[in-house]
Amino acid sequence: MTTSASRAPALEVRGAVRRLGTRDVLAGVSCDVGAGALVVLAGANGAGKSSLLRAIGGRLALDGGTLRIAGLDAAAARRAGRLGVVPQDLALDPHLSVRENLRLWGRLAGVPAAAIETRIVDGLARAGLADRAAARVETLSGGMRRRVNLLAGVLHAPALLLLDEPTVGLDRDSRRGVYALLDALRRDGTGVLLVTHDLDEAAAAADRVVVLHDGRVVADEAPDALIAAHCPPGGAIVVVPDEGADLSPLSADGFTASLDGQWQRPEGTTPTDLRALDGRLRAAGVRVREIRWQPPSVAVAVAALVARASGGGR
Amino acid sequence: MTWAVCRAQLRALAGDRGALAMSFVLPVLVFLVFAAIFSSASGDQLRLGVAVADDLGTPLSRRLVTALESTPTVRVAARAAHAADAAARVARGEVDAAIVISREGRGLETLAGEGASSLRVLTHPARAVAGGIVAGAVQRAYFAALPDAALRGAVGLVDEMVVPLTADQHREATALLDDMAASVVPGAAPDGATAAFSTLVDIAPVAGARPAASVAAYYAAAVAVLFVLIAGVTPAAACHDVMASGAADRALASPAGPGVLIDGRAAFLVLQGLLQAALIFAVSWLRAGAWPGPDLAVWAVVAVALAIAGAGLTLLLAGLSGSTRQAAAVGNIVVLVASAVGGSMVPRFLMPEWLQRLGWVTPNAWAIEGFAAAARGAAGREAALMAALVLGVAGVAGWALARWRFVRRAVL
Repeated sequence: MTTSASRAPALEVRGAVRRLGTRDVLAGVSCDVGAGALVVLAGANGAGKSSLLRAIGGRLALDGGTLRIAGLDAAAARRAGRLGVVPQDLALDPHLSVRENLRLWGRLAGVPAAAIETRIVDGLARAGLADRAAARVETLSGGMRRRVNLLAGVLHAPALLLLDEPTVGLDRDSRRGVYALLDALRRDGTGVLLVTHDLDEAAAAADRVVVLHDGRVVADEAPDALIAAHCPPGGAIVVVPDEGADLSPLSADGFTASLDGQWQRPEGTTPTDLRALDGRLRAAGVRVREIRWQPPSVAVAVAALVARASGGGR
Repeated sequence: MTWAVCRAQLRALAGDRGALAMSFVLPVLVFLVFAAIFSSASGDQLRLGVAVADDLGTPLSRRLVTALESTPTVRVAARAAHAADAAARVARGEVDAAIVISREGRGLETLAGEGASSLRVLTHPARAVAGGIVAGAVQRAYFAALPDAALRGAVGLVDEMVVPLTADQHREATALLDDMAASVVPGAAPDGATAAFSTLVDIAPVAGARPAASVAAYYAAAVAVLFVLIAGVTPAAACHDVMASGAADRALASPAGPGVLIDGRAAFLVLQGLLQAALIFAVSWLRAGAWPGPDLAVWAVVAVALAIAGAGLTLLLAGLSGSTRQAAAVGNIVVLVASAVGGSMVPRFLMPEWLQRLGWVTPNAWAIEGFAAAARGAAGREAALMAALVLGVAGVAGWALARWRFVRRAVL
């Protein structure tokens, strides 16, 4: 990362504030993404992750604070083609071929006509899709579409790339393919800001994890540091209850709501008998979809942080 | 970049058979149906079905019925037994109108005077316009088939109201008219003095007008504008989905900005509209045997203006709506109402005057008048260009306003 150090940060967010109705969706967020760095944005639903991505992407106007991309004001950076966006939904035309989609988005992103074909060929080769250039997008597998969706956001070699759930619905191999592409982009100096629910997989590739809660940054650390500082040493017991289940017995048993409808309790020094816990919860009327022990990880650390920030954790 | 988005839309359309059929096959089919309707209603193929009741039953009335049977404007669909039977057929919708030669009234030899006429046309309120057309046909048939009766009535009027005729004059006139009556061949084209009566009014196209091309221009324009607008509603409404999608997220983050998505769609709608108009006029050309616009450049200007107006106005309707669903509903309602008022469904000259005036707020009326003017060649060039200007300005204004609305709403 020596070359990255000499460049302006891919992203600098300072005191970003936005109120929607009576709620501060961003309440003074500050964070950075270095050139060539991959930062994961984590937090519960409604924490402000999507709002921050939208603000950087120009969808959401800020009431206060500043956003700079590659040293430029965010709006100027967008006009200069320094920002790439890979939205969660596939921003591709299913009737068009892979090449036609890439040509369209490459041109819109400012790639000169003379360079577009070369960029497409290089990008497809890098994504392992060289033989699918003429295929209609609607004929591709989910993993291939995700990779094309990613390529469509980076053909112009942006300084900062925003990704919203780029691996959702993909199998393990396809997810690896996406992260391999991100690694290649980072080597070229592109800073990556990523929102995903698959925290542990993302954290394995990340330089830092920024945790948001109620529109504020509650942690901004390297994955290992996050685990060391916030993860219970014995990991956690995670319960996923059915929707609509009576959850009060979970609270009574020491569980707190964490991410994505999960409930979590730090594991003590004596391992929990999961079968006995399952029986006890069911007897108390909790319909349990899943119950498991999770070793120390970024996901457990973030869940513990969120629970603590909500006032429920230990 | 606008072209890149437009090209993507065109490629997507080319790969969507359903959309292709809706945009290009359906308009042609509807055009062919409308062509048949319009050429019948406003062209030269009108033949109204009538029932004839000859209650008088005289040689004169029989000659008139024979003449009616060979009149081109009406088709004697039924010989009614009596006036009540004829009226019932009209009421049931079996015929457009009925002609009754009544025993009551002044008789067939009295042109004017007190009392009712012996010739009556019965019409249904829903087809009242047929009454005037049939009445004209009856008068024409009367003068063609019964010139002696018409003159006998005129002689009587002169004798009674202008200057009394002597007995000799009466005798000579009667002999002359008897000869005339004997010379009339039922069903044959009138000649001599008889012809003078039957051609009391000549109908002729105005100078410079080309009948076949003019009729074709009218209904081709009527259908073209209808489908340019209808085909624009769904793609324009879909702008709401596009602006809420990841595509707009990506465009917002790009140098092009989100407006390019609207511009691309507008360009696509203009091209689609132009293709539709060209296709419909080409089919019209094949059908009528004449291109409905002797000056192709003027026709093209009007066609491009129509396509711009269609794109701009459907985008504006979408931009003023709050969602895709609302835009589609509002768009279809406005387009159908505009098409009805603007003359795409019924020729405007058949409408009441206030509705004809109201029609000028629709693109349909301007496009139809523009194409009609283009069909007149050099004589209509100025009017055609004026119509094109109105359409073009309205379309660009709608496009710009819609773009502003969509882009403004894209940022929360």
